[in-house]
Amino acid sequence: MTKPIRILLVEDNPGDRDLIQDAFETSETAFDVSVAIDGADAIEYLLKRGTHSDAETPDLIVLDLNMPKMDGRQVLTEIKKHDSVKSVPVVVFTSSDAEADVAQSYALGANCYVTKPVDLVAFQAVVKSIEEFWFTVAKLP
Amino acid sequence: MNSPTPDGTQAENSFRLIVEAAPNAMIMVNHARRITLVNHGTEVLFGYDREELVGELIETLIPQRFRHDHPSQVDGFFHEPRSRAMGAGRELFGRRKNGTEVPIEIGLNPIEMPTGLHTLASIIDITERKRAEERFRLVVEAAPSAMLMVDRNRRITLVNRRMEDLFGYLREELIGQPLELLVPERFQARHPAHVEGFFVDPRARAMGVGRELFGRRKDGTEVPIEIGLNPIETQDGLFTLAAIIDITARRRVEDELRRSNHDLEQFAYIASHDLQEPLRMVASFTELLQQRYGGKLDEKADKYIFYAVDGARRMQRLVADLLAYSRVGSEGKPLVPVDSAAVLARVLDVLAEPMQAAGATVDHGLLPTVLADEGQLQQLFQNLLGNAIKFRGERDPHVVVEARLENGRWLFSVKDNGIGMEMQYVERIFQMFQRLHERGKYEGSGIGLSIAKRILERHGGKIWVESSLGVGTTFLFTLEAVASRNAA
Repeated sequence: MTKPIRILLVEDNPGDRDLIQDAFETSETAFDVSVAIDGADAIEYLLKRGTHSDAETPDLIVLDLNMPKMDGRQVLTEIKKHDSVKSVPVVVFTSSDAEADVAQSYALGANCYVTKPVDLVAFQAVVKSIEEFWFTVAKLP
Repeated sequence: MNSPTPDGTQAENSFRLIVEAAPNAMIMVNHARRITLVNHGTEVLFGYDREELVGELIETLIPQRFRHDHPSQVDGFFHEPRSRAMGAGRELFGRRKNGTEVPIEIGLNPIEMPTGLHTLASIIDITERKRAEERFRLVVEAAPSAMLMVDRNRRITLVNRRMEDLFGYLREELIGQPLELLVPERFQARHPAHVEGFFVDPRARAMGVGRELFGRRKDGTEVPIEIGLNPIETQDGLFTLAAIIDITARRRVEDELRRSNHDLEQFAYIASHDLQEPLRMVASFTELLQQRYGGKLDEKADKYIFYAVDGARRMQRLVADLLAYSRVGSEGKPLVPVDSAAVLARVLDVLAEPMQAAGATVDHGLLPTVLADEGQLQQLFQNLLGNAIKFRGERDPHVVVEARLENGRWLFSVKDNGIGMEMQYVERIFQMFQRLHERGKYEGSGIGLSIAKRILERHGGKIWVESSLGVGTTFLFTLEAVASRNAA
């Protein structure tokens, strides 16, 4: 049995956390989805600090942009400073479709930028296609 | 130099005939100021028979109040006899036999006669001209805006009461002064060249189009103004009549309107943007409820969930449309030359799928380069073509896009063969969320044409519609041509 694929979901909106987790969990692939409730929590998790001392490095990070405490841009900046996590692919998944956010995210090293669809079916389809691309088409480090 | 002397009887007779035939009054006076000859014109003008005048002093024809000084003026002329206008700069009057006065202009000529040096005075009745001038002055005085007239040397020659009110000067303080008195110091250096430019190419126009104009009051304060210029051709040469409007109040209202529009745009943007997130939660979870529990509860529960999902979706659509509407103003880009044919081609690309599904064809004529925000022009075409396809009739949709120059602007038309509409409803279709059909028959919230209208307002253009129920609809809109902006 192969070990499940680990995803770190960084999302402050509990509704979106449920929707994204729900979409991953209804997949045939086995996923182990961990949740960070904001940017600061995500950094603790990735650097295995505090309550996350036994956390495992994820295979993929799904990152919201606009969050309290530490936003997604700061998380991206921080991730790229640490050798242990800097090569983990980051999918920015946000409701913002502002051109400035897209450009800045890529500049900070995001691997892809996806806007959250307003419509549920489309939302579920997008999560599926993230899953399909990163775990079927692409080869992870 | 004196004029040639009438010499001998024949020459004198010819001279008398010429004088007699002159259309205006002519009077010959000798050194002793006695009248020696008058013509028919003089009789008509002054009301005397010539027998009553010949031999009389010339002062007979001069109002009492000028008589005292007159002899010395005549002496002056005889002392230095040359052809000239009499009393330059002064207003001259003649006195008729019945005692009334008549405004006149007098030309003086020295004539050497066998009996000595004479003066031949040629007199023109300027009553009509004076009346016209007075009428002009009254019109200027009664004008609702401040008005002033300047001569070619930029001297002020006429002002009205509103001018006194606006600038705080009395008219005596303005007449004869250089125009620059009313121009703020920082514009004074360039001002004479502007004035000269107007006199070189005199035609009625607004002054300083595109520039902000200010006047300087007597107390040194400035007032924002708008100025209309008119050339006035008079016997004394070319003058400029300027009508000046104080636009302080308008400027303030414009500023307020701009600010309030901006606030409203911001409000709409923030409201709709921030509404979207919680709404997405409502919509997503009611839908998830439908996905997971549809058919598992009772029939009523299914119906309630359906209404909740439907309502949330409709609200999402409205919020998204409101956001799109507010973005026309808040995210508009500067207007630059844009090839409208290329934009239309892109729209046809975007609409390829729905067009194919509807069996729609789009033809277009030569389309120009216009001043536009490219993204918004694309949205405009997309909304209009999308409508043409959506509101199709029995036939396959056929749309024709054309443009022609009219009064220096491009007039576009987007003509379809769709269901058309009754003209009595056309005003409503441009209002936000107004629809002519019951919900469900045609998709959409009814924002498309409001956005189209807003885009055109931002572009300084207009949109309107001509339609016939069951025949088709033509949307017409105007956009600025590239050259017209450059030329301004």
